[in-house]
Amino acid sequence: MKFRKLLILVLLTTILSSKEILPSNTYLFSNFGNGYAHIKDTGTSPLRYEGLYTGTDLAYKRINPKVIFNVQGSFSYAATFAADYYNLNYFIGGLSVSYIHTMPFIEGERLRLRFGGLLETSVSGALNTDLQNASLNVDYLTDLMITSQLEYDYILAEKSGKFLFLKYSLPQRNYRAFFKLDLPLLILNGRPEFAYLNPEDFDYFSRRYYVGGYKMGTKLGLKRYLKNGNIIEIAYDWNMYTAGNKDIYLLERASHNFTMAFYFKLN
Amino acid sequence: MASCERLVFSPNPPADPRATFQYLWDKIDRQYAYFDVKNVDWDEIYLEYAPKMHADLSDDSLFTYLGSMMNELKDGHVNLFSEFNKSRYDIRRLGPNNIDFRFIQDNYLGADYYYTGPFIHDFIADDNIGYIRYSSFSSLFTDENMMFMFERYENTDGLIFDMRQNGGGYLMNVFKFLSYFTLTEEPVYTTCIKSGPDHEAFTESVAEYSTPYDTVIHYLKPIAVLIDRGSYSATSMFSLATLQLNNIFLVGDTTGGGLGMPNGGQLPNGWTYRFSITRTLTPDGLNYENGIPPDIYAVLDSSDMAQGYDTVIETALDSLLGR
Repeated sequence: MKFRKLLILVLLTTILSSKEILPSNTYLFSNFGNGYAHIKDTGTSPLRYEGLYTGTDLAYKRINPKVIFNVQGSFSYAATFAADYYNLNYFIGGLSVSYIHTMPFIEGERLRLRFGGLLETSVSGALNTDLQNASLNVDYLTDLMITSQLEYDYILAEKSGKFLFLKYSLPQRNYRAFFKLDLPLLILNGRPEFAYLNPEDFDYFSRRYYVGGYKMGTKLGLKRYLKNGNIIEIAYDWNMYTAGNKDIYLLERASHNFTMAFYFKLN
Repeated sequence: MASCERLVFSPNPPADPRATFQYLWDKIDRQYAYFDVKNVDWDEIYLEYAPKMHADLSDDSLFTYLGSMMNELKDGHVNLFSEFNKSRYDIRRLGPNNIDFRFIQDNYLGADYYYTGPFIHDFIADDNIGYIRYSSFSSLFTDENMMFMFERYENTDGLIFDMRQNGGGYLMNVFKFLSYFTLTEEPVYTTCIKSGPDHEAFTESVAEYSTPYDTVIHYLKPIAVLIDRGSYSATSMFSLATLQLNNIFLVGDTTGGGLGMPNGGQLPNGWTYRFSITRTLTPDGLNYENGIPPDIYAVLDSSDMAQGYDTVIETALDSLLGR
């Protein structure tokens, strides 16, 4: 009951004050992350390959109180292993566009909820040299996601003091915490036909295309707004995808990624 | 997040001997391309091997059983791989050992033969024939390699390409090789790929063509290609393609076959395997998976060798020189 009252109080506070306290800008966004990934493609193996994940993104972002617009290119690589020493190298390259709008019923100085859409397309490549003429595979994925983001801004005031005999002074620090959730609306998969065959005379665009599967992503992060208008962000990014039971085989993959990002102010 | 994944993702299958056997048997049953020419009842094979599977089977015993089951297909493209062994069906043992390269050096080439790229070559038969040894289609070669040899042997009556015990390699080398020996585009074989679990479910056949090389580098005089049971996979593909080219004939023993494209996979216990999932036929629909027969049969004869003759080379020379 207490929690509900507190929640209503917070919502009312934020609804009553409609101005964003952190600056609006356009940015060049660049990030880099490392983590853990696992992949299973039953076309070639019933085993789940697990290992290290690394990824990088480059994006153009426009962020203001009403809208976040994002055009992004991504590349990731996972070095995964199964049954002690079998190695699967996995690459994903993707492009995405998203537009998320602040919801008027939860829009305040500090707290806001945004909803929107995300369209992304990616190509993934799997290389496992132990699999002979099935050692290389390419999959295509295009999806339309519903995306939502909850943000909370807070400011730590300027502070000075003394630690032992050292005087210090900390400037005002501006932060934004956020949680982003992407859920699927439409997923178009391009997966191998019945035969998994390598490249030598095989047309990689000849794939079985179907709508289905499931994909989900979350990102929990914290941004610090710097004096010069740039932003530093740390985040935990989780993504999962399964090609679903319409796939002749089954592709499942997930990544857990800890990222550090820089937003370079453009305007 | 991990709970979400567990909710949606499938668990790894059991990796005990019975499950591993079942997985492999199913995969072959659904995807292997040559049940029709191997005369194997795969259901009977199941009944024969399934009772041998039990939970406390050692890895070594399991490997032996699974390898034996795969060898029932009598196919050199069918293998099981583990960290301690590789099962194989040795096609070469179906015929006699049909080449002794030291013998060829001693009696035909001498010590000063040429090495051009992957080719060993020199004049033989009083400089009337060029002998060229190509021992693996995995060995890459260049236009310059071919141009050098064609210029060197342009005044001969023909060439011998010795591909005995050439176990195959890259398919792209087959077509590159063919491109030097024709001036017209010819369909040389058709390929189809398994398209479903039924033994006869295949994609529509697609014709593959020999395409003439687009420069002056070509050789159109008669060519004898020497083959034997060790001429496998890409070499069998090349042999199959030569059936459509009038200036090339095959001398020796039947090839090993291996016309399917083997693709690989992994078992629940981690071992990997491969077997053919494509079917290659002549343009008129003949299946030579069990080997391409020579136009002129010849195997090494000890009495010929005692006189310094390689029976297969001599047979090719008889035909090329009209002896």
